Amino acid sequence: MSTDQAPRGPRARRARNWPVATLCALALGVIASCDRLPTAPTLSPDLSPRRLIGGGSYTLGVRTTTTVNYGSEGWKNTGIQTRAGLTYVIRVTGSVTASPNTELGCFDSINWSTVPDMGSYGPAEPAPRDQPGGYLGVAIALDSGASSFTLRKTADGTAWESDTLPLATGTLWALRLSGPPAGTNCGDSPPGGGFYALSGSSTITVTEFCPPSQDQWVAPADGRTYRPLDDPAIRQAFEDAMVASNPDSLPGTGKRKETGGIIWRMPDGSIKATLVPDPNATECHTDPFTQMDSVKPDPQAIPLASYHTHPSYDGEDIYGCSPTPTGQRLAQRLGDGLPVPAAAPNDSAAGGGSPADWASTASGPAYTITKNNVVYRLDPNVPRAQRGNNRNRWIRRNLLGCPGMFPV
Amino acid sequence: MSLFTTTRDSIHEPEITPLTRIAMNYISLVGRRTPRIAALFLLFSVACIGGRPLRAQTATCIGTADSTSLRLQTYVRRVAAANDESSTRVRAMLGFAATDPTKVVVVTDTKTCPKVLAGVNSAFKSGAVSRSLYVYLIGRNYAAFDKREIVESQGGAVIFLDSRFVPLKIVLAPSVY
Repeated sequence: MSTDQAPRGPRARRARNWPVATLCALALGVIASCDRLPTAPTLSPDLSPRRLIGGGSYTLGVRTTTTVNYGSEGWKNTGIQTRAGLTYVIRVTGSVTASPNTELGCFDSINWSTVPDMGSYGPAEPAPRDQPGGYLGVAIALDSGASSFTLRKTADGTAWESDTLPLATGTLWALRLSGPPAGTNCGDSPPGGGFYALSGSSTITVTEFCPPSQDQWVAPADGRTYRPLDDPAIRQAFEDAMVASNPDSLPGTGKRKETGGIIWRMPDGSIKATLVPDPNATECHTDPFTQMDSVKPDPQAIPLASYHTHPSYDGEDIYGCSPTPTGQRLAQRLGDGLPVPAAAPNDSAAGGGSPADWASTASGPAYTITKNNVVYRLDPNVPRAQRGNNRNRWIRRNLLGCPGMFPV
Repeated sequence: MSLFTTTRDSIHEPEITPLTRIAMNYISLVGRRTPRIAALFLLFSVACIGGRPLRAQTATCIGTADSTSLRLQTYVRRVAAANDESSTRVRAMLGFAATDPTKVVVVTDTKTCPKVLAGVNSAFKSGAVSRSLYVYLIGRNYAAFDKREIVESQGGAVIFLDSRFVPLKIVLAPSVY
């Protein structure tokens, strides 16, 4: 049958189009089924891709519990990945009390078969069951093997804390353990196991520590020694600044901007980083000092250092730079007809910063955070000829997610 | 300091600015019907008001190995040959192959210098501006620095040109001061 003689009409047209319709239906089905694909267990928020750096504190679970059932559903969903080479501290805070008029049941022992690979638990002493009002503990399962540790009460008595633990690479799960108050008849069973009717809440926090970064300097402001890169919150602030810079956006569109902030000394001696909005920031420059008082975290806070991003790779087009010394204007935005220069923020002889960046170190170091995963520290009073030898540079996130100093 | 200076007399080689070109087109259109003297008057007016072809454009290529020149040479050699990420990325952007650093040479000859200047002015879209330049040959390509553009507070801008003196890119190099 020739094409000319093909049946006409809507029915015939539908018949001819059935392969297309089938393919469309299959495609729609695949798209729709994406929603029904099994989802990964809900992990700690700290395991989300947003976490770009090694180190930091992870809240494994905040539980307000009325019934504690070992091996109960979902407890493994609070896991984090541990990595050899990093260290961890486990901390438990909170309180529980037994509810009155509730029948309490006790097991003679924990049924470890429902809690496979359980490494150890704590606190080991005093015997939890003897604690007035019940007890709190933490059970740790590490799939790479058992790791024994003890939780000790902190000096202020508000929490239990482990020593610094070098754990193996694997996944760490934690389970809040609670026990009955003193006097509850649980026989001679060891601590743990069973169903308890309790109320209260507790929090298990695991803090991951990177190896020392060797970032250390004495602040001109107070003569004290600081190690900002060893502070996970500071490193996270650096990462946040880079994210806020939109380094992957198209140059010249106004989305990509250098972004920076101030590292402050707080009245309690700790350090804190705050991002400083700079309305005049471009891809080429920002000045964290201009608006820093607007983000001062405490009236007594003292600025110690500044930080800002370099959100362009070397060789990338860069917009928003100031006119050259002879007044030659450079492109400020895409298509404005002015010459578009290329950036070279990692020019090794510059030591990680432009002359203006180095000039900004009068009152303290300046950290520059580059798109190509490097952090530089620009110290005050470094002569120009020596800037190229700046040894204060780190891979921002090595394989462990930690800052790693470049070999000297 | 030895300077190798050449002057390009723009009366003999006028630079054709867009405004001049419009005027010339106009003359070619109306020339047959308009007295030639009027056309010449119009061309002269445009040249004086809108164009800059009558101004001399002087290219000075600095040949002395002063401290700035040595610093710039170090920079150019690094871009030409080094395997660090910055140099590699800049070379890739320019389309340069890695070049033996010994093949980076100072350019001072009087024929090349004006052509480099024209390329630099084209890169900056600045019209005919006289400049004192540090010029380096990298294989068959060129790197040029305007002496006045290198200041302590900003670093410097380097203009890379291809073998035909066509500007490839202005690179803002923070280390060249």
